[in-house]
Amino acid sequence: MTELLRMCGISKSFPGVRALSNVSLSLNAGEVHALCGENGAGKSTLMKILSGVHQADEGDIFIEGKKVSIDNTKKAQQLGISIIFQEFNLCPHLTVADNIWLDRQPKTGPFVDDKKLIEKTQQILDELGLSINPKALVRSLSVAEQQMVEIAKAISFNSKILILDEPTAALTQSEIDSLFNIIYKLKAKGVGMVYISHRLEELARIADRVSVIRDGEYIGTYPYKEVTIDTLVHLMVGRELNNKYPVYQRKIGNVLFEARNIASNKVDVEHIQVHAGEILGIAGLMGAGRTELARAIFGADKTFHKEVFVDGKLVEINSITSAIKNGIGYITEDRKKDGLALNMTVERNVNMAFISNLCKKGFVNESAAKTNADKYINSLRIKTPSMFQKTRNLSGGNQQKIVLAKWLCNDIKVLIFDEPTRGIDVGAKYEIYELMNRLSDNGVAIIMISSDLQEILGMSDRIAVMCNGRISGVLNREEATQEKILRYATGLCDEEGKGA
Amino acid sequence: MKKFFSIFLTCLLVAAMLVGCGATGNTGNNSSNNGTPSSTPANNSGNDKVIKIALVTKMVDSPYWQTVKKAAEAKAKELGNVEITHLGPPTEADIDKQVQIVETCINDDYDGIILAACDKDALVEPVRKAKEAGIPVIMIDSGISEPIYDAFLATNNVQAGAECAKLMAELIGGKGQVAIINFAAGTQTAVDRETGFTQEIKNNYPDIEIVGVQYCNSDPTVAANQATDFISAYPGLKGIWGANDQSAIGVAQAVTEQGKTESVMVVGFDNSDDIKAGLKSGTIKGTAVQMPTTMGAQGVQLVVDILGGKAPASKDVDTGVTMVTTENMNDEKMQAILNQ
Amino acid sequence: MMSSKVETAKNGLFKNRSEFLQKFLAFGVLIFLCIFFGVLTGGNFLQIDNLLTIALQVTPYAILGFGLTFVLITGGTDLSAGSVLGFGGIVCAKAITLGFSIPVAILIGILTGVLAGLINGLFITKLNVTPFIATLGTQYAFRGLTQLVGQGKPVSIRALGDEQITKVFQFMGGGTVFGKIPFPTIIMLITATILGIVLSKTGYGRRLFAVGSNEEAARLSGINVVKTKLTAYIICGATSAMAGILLAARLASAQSNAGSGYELEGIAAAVIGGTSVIGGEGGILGTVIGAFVMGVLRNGLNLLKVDAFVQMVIIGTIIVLGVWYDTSRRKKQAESIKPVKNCESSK
Repeated sequence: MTELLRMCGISKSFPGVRALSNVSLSLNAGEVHALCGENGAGKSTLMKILSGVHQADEGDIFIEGKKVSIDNTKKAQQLGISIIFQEFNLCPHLTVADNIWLDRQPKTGPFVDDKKLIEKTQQILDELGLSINPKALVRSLSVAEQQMVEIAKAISFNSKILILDEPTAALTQSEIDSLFNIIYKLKAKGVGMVYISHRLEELARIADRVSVIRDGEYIGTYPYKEVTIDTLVHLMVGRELNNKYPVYQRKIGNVLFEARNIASNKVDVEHIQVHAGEILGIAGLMGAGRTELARAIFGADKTFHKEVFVDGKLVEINSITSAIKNGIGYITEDRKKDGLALNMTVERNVNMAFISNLCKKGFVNESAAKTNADKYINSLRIKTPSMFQKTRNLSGGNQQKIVLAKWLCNDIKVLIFDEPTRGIDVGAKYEIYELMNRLSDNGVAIIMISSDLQEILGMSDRIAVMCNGRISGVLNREEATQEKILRYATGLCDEEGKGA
Repeated sequence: MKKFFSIFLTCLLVAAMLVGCGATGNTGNNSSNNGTPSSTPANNSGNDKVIKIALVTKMVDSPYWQTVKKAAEAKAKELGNVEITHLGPPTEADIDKQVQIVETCINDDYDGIILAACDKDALVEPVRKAKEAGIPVIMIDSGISEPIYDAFLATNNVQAGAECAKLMAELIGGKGQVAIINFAAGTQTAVDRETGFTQEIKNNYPDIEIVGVQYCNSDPTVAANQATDFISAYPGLKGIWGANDQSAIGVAQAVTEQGKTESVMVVGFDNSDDIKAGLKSGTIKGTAVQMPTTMGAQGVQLVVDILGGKAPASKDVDTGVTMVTTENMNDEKMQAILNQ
Repeated sequence: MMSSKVETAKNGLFKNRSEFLQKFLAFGVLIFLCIFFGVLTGGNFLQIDNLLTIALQVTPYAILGFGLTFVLITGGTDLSAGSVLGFGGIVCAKAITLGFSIPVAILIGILTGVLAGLINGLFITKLNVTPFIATLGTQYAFRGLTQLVGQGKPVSIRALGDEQITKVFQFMGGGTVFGKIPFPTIIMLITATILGIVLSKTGYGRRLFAVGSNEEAARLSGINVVKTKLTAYIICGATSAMAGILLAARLASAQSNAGSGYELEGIAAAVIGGTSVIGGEGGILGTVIGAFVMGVLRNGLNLLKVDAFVQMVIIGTIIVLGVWYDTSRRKKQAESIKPVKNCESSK
C-alpha cells in the first residue's frame, strides 16, 4: 500500500490560542482515514493547513514521500489535494458544468466551448454514477447534490487526496448511502480520503483507520476495526460518557399542544398533538416537509388553513408574534443562518426574543437584561468569557444553548427543535439532550425534528414520520426501529389519515 | 397587505405624475411644444412688406428666454415692419425637436432666423440648409461648431471675467490678496471666466495676488465653507470673487458670518433675487450681469441689416456684461438691467 | 490545563484592547489630524474660531449621517438622502414665502422628509425592492419634486423683504449662542444625543441591530422587521430634511440643487465612524467623529493652501484607506479568535 501523505509534528498558533501542537497524520492510497475530535479540537485547522488556507508554524508535510510546502490553496490543488468544506464553495447562479470547470472551461480561442464543457462534465458525473444534469443551475440542486458536485469538482482536478469535512451533516439516510457508494468508487480508484465526522456510527461503514485529536493534541491512530464507539468517544472527550442518550423517565401529562388541518404549499397535516413533558420526534427524508411543518405551526410561513390548540384552547396564530405570545418557540435548523445574530453579543442574543419584556416606556432596562442573560448563562452552563463576547466566537454547542436560552426567557409551553444537534460535538450533544429532559420535566411539550435516526430513536417518546408533506406514520418508542421509520419515510407504507 | 401597498404606491405615483404634468402644463400652455408660434404681430404702420423673423431658443418658458423675447419684440416694434415668432423645444435636452423647428422655419418662409443652439453639432445641418435657402441666421448665446452663420452674439466670458477683475481691483485699491470661488472645474464657461479674471490681474495689477481657486459645484453652502477657510488661511485677504450666482451667494454668506463685510470685498457674477438682496445690503459689492436684452435686440437689428444688404462688421459679437455695483444699482438704467 | 488558562487570559486582554481600539480608532485619527494640522499651520488651525468654523461646516453632513447610520445598521442604504435634503429645505422655504410661521414651516419641512422616508421604506420593505435601487430611483424623483417646487430656481427668503423673518431664519442656520458656538451645531449635538440614546438604550435600538445583524433570526425571534426597517428610513428622511432646513436657513434661501451628492458625504462620515455597510454595527458618536474627520481634513488642507484638485485626491484616498484598515482589522479579529472552549464559564 503506497503512502500518499504524511504530516509530521504539525504545530500552529493563532494570537492567544495554540490550535495544534505536534500533530501527525498519514494517509494511504485507497484509504478512508477518519479524523475525530470534539468541535474546536483542531481538526479543521489541520485540514486548512493541508489545503493551504493556513500555514503550519512547525512540522513537515510529505506527499508521496517528497517534502512539500503548501503556501496557498492553488499549490494544494496542484499537489492533488482537494477539500470539501461544510459550507460549500459553489457559485449558486452558475451551472453544474461551469462550477466544476470554473476558470478552466475548455475554450476555442477566447470563447468557451460549451459542447466540450458539457461532455467533459457528463464524463465525470457518469464516472461517479451521478444523475445530475450538467446544465442545471447549482442553486436548483439539493444540498446532497451540491455536495456531489463538490466531489465531482475535486475529481476533475485529478485529486489523489480528498478531505471531506462533515459531509453527511446535512444528508438524509438514502443520500448518505449514495455518498458512501461514491466513496467506495473513489477508494477503488486509489484516492485517499480524510473523513471528518461526528457521526461515529457511520464511520464503521467506510473508515479504515481513525485518528483522534483532543484540544489541539494528537491522541493516536487506530485501525477502525479495533476500536469501539465507546472507546472512541472516550478518547475524544477525555472522560467517560456512559450513554449517548441520557436515560430518563419522563412524566407525560395532558395534551398541551394540538394542531388540526395544517395546509400550506408544502404541508398537508391533518392532526398532530404533543403532551406536556413529551418529546415528539419528527423523522423523514430531506424535503419531506418537516421544517415547513414547524414554520407553519410557528406562523413563520403562510398557511391556507390551520387550527391550533394550546392547553385545550383554540388560538389564532397568524404571525410569529402571536406564536410567541401563545407560548410556542422554534429553534431553527441552521442556527448560523437564521438562529443567531453572530456579530452581536451573547447577552443581546439571549434577550432577542425577550426585548419587549425588558422595556419600560421603550427604554431597555439594562440591569434586568444583564440579570436575565446571566441567569441563562449559568443555568444552561453556556461557556463564554463574558456575556459581552460576540456569539461568533463561541463553539457550536454553546451557540445552540444561546438559541435555547432565547426561548426559555419567554414562558414557553411548546418548543420545536429543528435538528438540535447538527454539527455539535459529542459532549455538547449530551448536554443538549439533558436540557431537553429538564424542559420536559418542567412540562414543556417538545417537537424534535431530526435527520439523525439514532437521535430520534434515543430521545423521542413518539415518532411521527413525514413523507411528501404528510405524516405517513406514527410510532411509539417501543415499536420504533430504524427500518420501520425508513419504510414510512420513503413512502413504502402510508397510513394516510393517521394523525400524530 | 402587500397588494394594498402596491395599489397605494401606484396611486401615489399616478398622483405625482398628474401633479407634475399640471405644473409643467401651467407654464407650458403658451410654450410651443410642437412649435406652435406665439407670434407678436408687429405694428406695421403703412409698410406693406413685413419682415418675418423666427426666434428659436433652447426652451421657451424660462425667464431668461422670455427676457430675450421681450427685447426682440421691443426692437421689432421700434423698427415697425418686423414680426417676431418665438419658437423652441420644451426643454434644452430636446435637441431633435429644435432641429425640426428650424427645418420647419425654412419651409415656412421666414425671412430670418435668430437661434440659440441646444447642441453645437446637431444644429449645423439645419443652419446650413437655412443658409442655402438664403435665410440669414444669427446665433445668440450658444453657437454651433462650424462658423456658417452670419453672426454670433454672446457673452464673451473671458472678457466678462476681466471686467470682474477690474471691479475687484478698484474695490481693493489695486493691491492685496484675492481668492476665487469658481462654480465648476472643467466647464468651458467657468474656465473662460477664470482665465479672463486671472489674466487681467496678472497683466495689469502686479500688486494683486490671487491666493487660490476652489470649486464649489454651484453649491452655495460649499462655497461658504471654502470662503470661510480662505478667510482663516489668509487673514489679510482683501477680496473674493464668486464666479456665478450660487458661488457669490455662498461667499457673501461667509463674509457676513465672519463679520468681514467691510474688509473683504465680494464680487459676483449673474443676477438673482439673492444677489439683488446682497447688493442691497452691501455684502456683495458688485456683480457682472449678462445682457440677454442686447442679444434679443441686436439679433433683430442684424437680420434687418443683412436683408437690407449690410453685412455685419464682425462675425463674433460680444454682447458684454454690465457691472452693477452697490453704488450704481439705484440708477434707472441699472435697475432696468437688474430686472431684465 | 494550565497553559490554556494563561492563553485565555491573554486572549481576554487582547480582546479588550481591540474593542477599545475599534471604538476609539476614529477618535484617534481625529486627534492626530488636529495635532498634525495644528503644527503645520503654526497653531492657526487650533484657534477656537477655526474649530468653531469647522463645527458649523460639518453640521449638515453629520445630521445627514445620523439618519444614514440608522439605515446602514439595517444593512440598507439611502441614496436619496441628498435629494430629500433639498426637498425638505425647499418645502420649508416655500412654506415661509407662502406666509406660514417659521415653526410651522419647519414642521412642514420635516414632515416632508418623514413622508419621503416612508415612501423609501415602503418600496424596500413592502415591495422588496433592494435599497440601492429603490433609493437610486427616489433620488431622481425627490430631486425632480424639489425642482418643481422651486421651478428650477432658488426660493429666497431674503427676497421676501421681511427683515425679521430673514433674521430669525438665518439665526437658525448660522447664528451663534453662548459666545461663538454656532446654533446649528447645538441642534446637531442635541439630535446626536437623542438618536444616540435611541440606538443604545431603547428596545427599538436593539431590534434595529438584531435586524441588521441577521434579519431572519430577528424575524423568527418575533421582531417586526418591516416596522423596524420602515422606522429607520423614516428617521433618515427626517434628519435629511432637517439638514436641508438648516442649509436653507443659513443662506436664507433654499437652493433647488441643495444636497446633491451629500448622501455620499453622510455615508462616508458614518463608515469612517465605524458603521458597517453590511449592517449590524454602528453608532451615532462614531458618525459625529467621522463627519469631523472629513471636515477637519477639508479645513486643514484649505488652511495649508493645498490645491483644490490635490485635496480631492487626498480626501478620497484617506476614506478608502480608513475603511480598508477598519475592515481588515475586523476580519483579522474574527479569524484570530478561536471558539472559546476551555475557559471557565463566566461565573
